[in-house]
Amino acid sequence: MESFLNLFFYADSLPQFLHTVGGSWGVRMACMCSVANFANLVLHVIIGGVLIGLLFAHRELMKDKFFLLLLMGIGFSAVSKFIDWWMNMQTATGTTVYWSNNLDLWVEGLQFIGMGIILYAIISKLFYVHHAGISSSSAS
Amino acid sequence: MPEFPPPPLLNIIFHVSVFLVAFVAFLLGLGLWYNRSINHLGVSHYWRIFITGVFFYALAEFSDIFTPGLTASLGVHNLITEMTLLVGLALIFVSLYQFMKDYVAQHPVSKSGS
Repeated sequence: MESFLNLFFYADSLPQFLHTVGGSWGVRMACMCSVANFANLVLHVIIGGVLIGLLFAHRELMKDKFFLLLLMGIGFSAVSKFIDWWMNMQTATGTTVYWSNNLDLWVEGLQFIGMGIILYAIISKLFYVHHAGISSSSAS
Repeated sequence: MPEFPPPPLLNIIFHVSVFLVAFVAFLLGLGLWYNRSINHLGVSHYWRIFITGVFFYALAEFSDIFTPGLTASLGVHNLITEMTLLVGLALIFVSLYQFMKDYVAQHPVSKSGS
């Protein structure tokens, strides 16, 4: 059981060949999470870029609070993911485990604000869309 | 396993808050889905993708509550957490993209803005 838990919490328990592969790229495989974290950051950039492109193509949409809220939420969340990725990269490319309680607070605080705004915007809009569907279907 | 110092309470509160935001959003979305299904109305495919995404997001945030206790973004625990978060965010953003496309198609705007 203990060896299983070690594997779960410490990737240092991973097979040696994996560490060798990572080491050849200058990355500690103990922090492979930075790869997923980087992908999260890229996702934010893509969806943020699509949204900005949409707003530029249809400037009238800027009058809709929904799209501006989304953009703001994605911005906050992206900054949060950037700090998170930076922290993980400190461990992945450094020689010691990096951890900062203050930065963790920033990550979670920005994520709270960002995802709070995004989820509020989507849920309120989709609630409206679905309730509008109910009204129109009951009216017909 | 080595001993870890107790995590600061503030960090735990912040992590739990993010989890609760995602979990409440999941419950709200699920509630609407259930409400419409018992009324034989169904929900749009955005909603299904969105709810599935928020579920994965909430799951990842629950797992992330334990990260300050480990004092490290290290190991398979964090890898699984980040991968789950990646799946959740991807689904949320896909539903968002589909919604934006449909919204623009259903609300055509003139180039002159009039």
